[in-house]
Amino acid sequence: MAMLDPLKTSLPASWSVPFVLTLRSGNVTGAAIGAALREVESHCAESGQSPIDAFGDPEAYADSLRLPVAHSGDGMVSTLAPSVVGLVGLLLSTPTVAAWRLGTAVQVSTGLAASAVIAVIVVALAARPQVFRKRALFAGVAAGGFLAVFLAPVVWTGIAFRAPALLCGAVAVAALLVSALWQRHTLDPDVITDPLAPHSPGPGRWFTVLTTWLFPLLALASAILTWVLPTPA
Amino acid sequence: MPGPTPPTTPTPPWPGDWLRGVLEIAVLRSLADGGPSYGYAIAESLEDAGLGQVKGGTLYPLLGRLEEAGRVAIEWRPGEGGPGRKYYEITASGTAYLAATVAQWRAFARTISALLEQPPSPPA
Repeated sequence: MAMLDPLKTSLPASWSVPFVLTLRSGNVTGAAIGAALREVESHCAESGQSPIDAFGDPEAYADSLRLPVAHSGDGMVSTLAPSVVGLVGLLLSTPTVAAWRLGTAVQVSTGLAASAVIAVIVVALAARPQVFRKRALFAGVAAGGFLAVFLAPVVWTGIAFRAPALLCGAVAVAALLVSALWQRHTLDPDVITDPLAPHSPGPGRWFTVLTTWLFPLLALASAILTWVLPTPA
Repeated sequence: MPGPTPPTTPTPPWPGDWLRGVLEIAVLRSLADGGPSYGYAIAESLEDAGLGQVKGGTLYPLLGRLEEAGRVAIEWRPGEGGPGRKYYEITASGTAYLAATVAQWRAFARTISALLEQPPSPPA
């Protein structure tokens, strides 16, 4: 079946988006989400009622449906965990390449270590339904977390620990590889589909490849830049 | 001088608790009598039958539970100039369940009617 964009139905996004997010957070299959969305759309078109009048609060309505779930497991956490591992690998790779180039030990700053910890906390927070269901709160946590992750190394420049470049390189490469392989395993190709549209393939191959190898590719780009750019005097 | 006001026949909306108890049997009855139908048409038939307006937020979760239990089968059909419709058709299992529940409901209704129509007992 063809992919269905929840924003391209006749339903207001203020209703359809929290409805779809709530179902997604419960691991409901893409096919079941598409069918539920189309059924609400159909009912509203025929009755002339708004979704809030006919179905009430989108999150409460989504919770009242017993729809097929894609797989068991811990949902958002297992989906986001590979990205955290990838981010740790990415954060470690740049100082490792710089140290390798200079022939010194890797100096991991307090800020960099704090970045990794902040990233884990932010992902764990953002994955909680109480947070990601509230758009303003989720945006605040994501934006604040993003800022903290990138500001921490600038603010806390003291050295937390020194480690051999080879060891750090091995840890960074292992984290990046684990992240990509884990991502490939957990990447959810279960897109939201239209129950009536003819079959079409899911997301393109390049989308899947880029999503899976995003952190290793970023680390590679960062390593090349670090190697090529002149060292600070 | 106006006479005493005659007692009025109660009309919908019925108490929500009552509706929740009878909605499943009413939906299955509607599908058994009228053949395959879709959500909005089912809601209209229930309203026409005197149950009052049944909200989508009440009806569709019930239809989903009936589908999950195998009491109805579903089929998507293109809508007439609008979005598609999900049609529900009662299955053999649904028909058997409806027959059993109707028998149970009748016995329950008789019991309640008998209870409510008892003359008040004289004070001791």
